[in-house]
Amino acid sequence: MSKIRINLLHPTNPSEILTVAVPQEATASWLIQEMIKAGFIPHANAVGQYKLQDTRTEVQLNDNQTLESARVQDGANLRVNHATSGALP
Amino acid sequence: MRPKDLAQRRQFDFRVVSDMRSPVFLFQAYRSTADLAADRNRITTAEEAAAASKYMMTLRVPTLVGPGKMSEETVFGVDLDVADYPLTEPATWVISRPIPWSPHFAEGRPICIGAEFWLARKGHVTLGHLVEHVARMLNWDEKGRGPGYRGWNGEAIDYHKRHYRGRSLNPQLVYPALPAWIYGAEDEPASFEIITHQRTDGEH
Repeated sequence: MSKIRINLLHPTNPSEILTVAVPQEATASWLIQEMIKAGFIPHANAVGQYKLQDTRTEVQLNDNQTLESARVQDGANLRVNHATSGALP
Repeated sequence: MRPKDLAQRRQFDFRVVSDMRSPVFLFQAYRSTADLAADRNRITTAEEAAAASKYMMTLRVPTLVGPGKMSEETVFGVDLDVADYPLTEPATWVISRPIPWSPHFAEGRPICIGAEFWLARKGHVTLGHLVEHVARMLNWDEKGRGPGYRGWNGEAIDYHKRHYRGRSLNPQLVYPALPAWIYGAEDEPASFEIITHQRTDGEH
C-alpha cells in the first residue's frame, strides 16, 4: 500500500495546516473521519458536511472517491470546506 | 530504564493514545509542565513523542460532581516523568473544575487509580489502559471495594448506592478503545500518519 503526503488546509483557520501521510486508496470521507478523530476539525454541524478540494485542480472529491482516482499528487494541498445545507427563506 | 528505552516507551504510549482519539477522548502532549500549563509547544508527531512526558487529557464521560449534579467532561493531567516509569504509575491530577464527586478524585490529590491497576502489572500496562480506567471510574463502572471502603468521599459512595444501586452512571457509554494492534490483531502501521500540525499564527 503506497502512501502519499498531503497537506490538509483548515476550513476556518487558514494558518492551520495538517500534513499527513496516507494511502492513495484513502477516500475523502475516511480522511474527514480521521481529521475529526485527530482533533483537527470538529464534527460537522447538523446541517453541514465536509468536502475536500484539491487546490491545484480545484476539483472537489466525491465522498467515496479515493485520492488516486481523483489524481491527487504527492505534496498536494487539500482544502477542507465545511458546506452547509440551504434552507427556506 | 535506559534513556533510549524510555524514549521508545514514551513513543509507544503516544502511539497508543493517538489511536484512541474519539469523540469521548482527546489529549495534548507536552515536554514540560510549563508547556502544559501554557498549552504551548504541543507534541504532535510520533518522532517528537520521545520527549512527551506530560499529557493533558479530556474525557467526555458525564460524571457526578455533586448530589444530582453532572459534569459532561473532565480534564486531567498525567506526568510520566516519575522514577522507574513504567514500573511505577504516572502522576495524575484533575485540572478541570468542578472536581468529580467520587471516592477516587479529590482537590489537590492524585487520581486514586489503585495499586492493582498499575503497580501490580509490573510495567505491562500502557497510558491507553489508564485512559480506559479513568473513564470507567468517571462512569462509576466498577465492582467497588466493599462496604468498608470510603475513599476520599464516602458521601458520594452512599449517594451512588442509593440512586444507582451499584450500576454505572451510563451503561450505554462507549469507552475509548485500546487499538487492536496492541493485542496483535493487526500488524499495520497507522494509516493516517500525522507528519506535522502547523499553525503559522505562532501556535504549534
